[in-house]
Amino acid sequence: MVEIPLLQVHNLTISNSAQNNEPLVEGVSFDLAVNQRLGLIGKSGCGKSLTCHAITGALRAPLAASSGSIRFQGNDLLAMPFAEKQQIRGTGIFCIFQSPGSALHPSLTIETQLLETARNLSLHGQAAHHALLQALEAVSLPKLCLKQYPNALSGGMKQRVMMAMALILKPTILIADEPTTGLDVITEHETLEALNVVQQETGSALLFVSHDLRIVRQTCTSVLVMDAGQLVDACDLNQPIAPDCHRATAEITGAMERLQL
Amino acid sequence: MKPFVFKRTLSGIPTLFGMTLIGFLIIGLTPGDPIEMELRRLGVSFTAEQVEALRVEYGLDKPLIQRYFIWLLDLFRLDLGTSIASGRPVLELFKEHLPITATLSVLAFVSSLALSLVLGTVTAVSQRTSVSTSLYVLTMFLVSVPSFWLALFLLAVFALGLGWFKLLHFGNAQDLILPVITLTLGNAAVMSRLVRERIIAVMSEDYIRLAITKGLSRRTILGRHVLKSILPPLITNWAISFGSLLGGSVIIENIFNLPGLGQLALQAIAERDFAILQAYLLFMGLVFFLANFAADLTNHWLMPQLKEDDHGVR
Repeated sequence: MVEIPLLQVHNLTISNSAQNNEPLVEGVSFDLAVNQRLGLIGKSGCGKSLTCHAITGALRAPLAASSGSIRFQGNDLLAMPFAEKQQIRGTGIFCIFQSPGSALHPSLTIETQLLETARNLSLHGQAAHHALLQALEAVSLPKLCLKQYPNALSGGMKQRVMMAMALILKPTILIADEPTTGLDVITEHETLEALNVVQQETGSALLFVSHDLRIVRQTCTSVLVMDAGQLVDACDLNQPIAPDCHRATAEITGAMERLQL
Repeated sequence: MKPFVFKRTLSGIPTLFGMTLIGFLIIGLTPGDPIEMELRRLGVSFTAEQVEALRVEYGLDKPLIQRYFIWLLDLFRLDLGTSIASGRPVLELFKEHLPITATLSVLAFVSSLALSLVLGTVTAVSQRTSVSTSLYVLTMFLVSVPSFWLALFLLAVFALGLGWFKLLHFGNAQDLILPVITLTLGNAAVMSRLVRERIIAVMSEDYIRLAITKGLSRRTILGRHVLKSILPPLITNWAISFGSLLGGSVIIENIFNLPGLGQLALQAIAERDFAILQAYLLFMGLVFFLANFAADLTNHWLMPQLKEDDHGVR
């Protein structure tokens, strides 16, 4: 029996419905299998984040997936009504965004924001609180954080709160959209450690988006390369990148060599 | 919370003082002598000596600044002076006229608040649908037409045309319906556009995107995450709009012939009735101050993450 991949993105095209310009993302197709750690790299503005948003359903009008399909466990997410998609969001697919500073609600305590995720799993009272504390411990955040508002936490801590959310939700697929952008090297390291913990604890399939091949190498086994809204290359990271790779891939590896990373 | 309340109350006192002083000077410096105007209005013949005697009686012979401090001292004894035109104490006149204006403003305020939240949410959430577009155009229209035009339009249609309401008559609560609707529509239109704008802005915030990704229901997203973010600026705006609603009622009261504070004030302007004008000014200042104070307190309570700022610690 052939196993159905968890996520099948087929011919995904994203365009701006308000303008009749060229699509922003065109004909993107890839599969994500159980336990797979897939990287997605490309230059800024190439459509990586848009692809993620299309998968999580967070595209904002007038941007919309104009054609193609995104199948989660065989069901097309793009054709699903809001209520049904809500069931998949969080526990099925969860996404850690690139800007921890603005991803947490400024006027709700960390506890409220974590409890909301627990409630998603029908966890209440003691059980929810227990799940919260466990998650905090796993990402080494002090218990004190619960009563605080996001503005009292550092960028790295906020990103670990996001990781804690992922730990509580234990999503089938975890998308990390440039989780280390804007963080210093030490915090970046801590965030990646936390991400590792999350992956080990939850067994989620990972889609790791970055513009930094160096970080993708640490976390993923294979990588897709995007350029100008299209998927242009796929590389196995266990082997050296082939010399006959796409121009965009060569550009990234070339830049890394020059910087001696 | 306590030091915040204390600080805000203290800072309000000089503001009110300054406002009454400036108001007093401006009213005092406007041309036109109230005594002479009143006597002319009554159609009696008078001599310069008689005018002078009345001036002394009303204390108008003293220099302006001195008159201000006399007024201020009287104020502490809750004496707002005597109206020159009617000869009655200002406080008494206020007690008589305030209920209508207060009822009108509070009703219009509450209904425009509710209406603006509904209109704003509908036009923001269901963008690019025909219902939301037509509602948006309607609010645009209501924002642009002056309130007196709207008042006359409603009177023409519902009082003259359909005969549902009596024209230029005030006797019971029913006569307040059209004035309240006039004030509500104009105010709700302005406020709903702000609600819409705020919701659209907040919906594009990353934390709303996260709330969606977390799998929260639409109700939780709108009712908790969005509402909590849009409320603080709205509350500040509501406080200001309550003040301007009171001010706007001057015109509306005159069109609908309602014996409220606005009518009293407008008449006082025509008659240079200083005492009433000064009291009206003080009243408006106090309302603005209290409304803003209430807004700040509510915001303070709504945005607990700002609490530390009170003590200057971060």
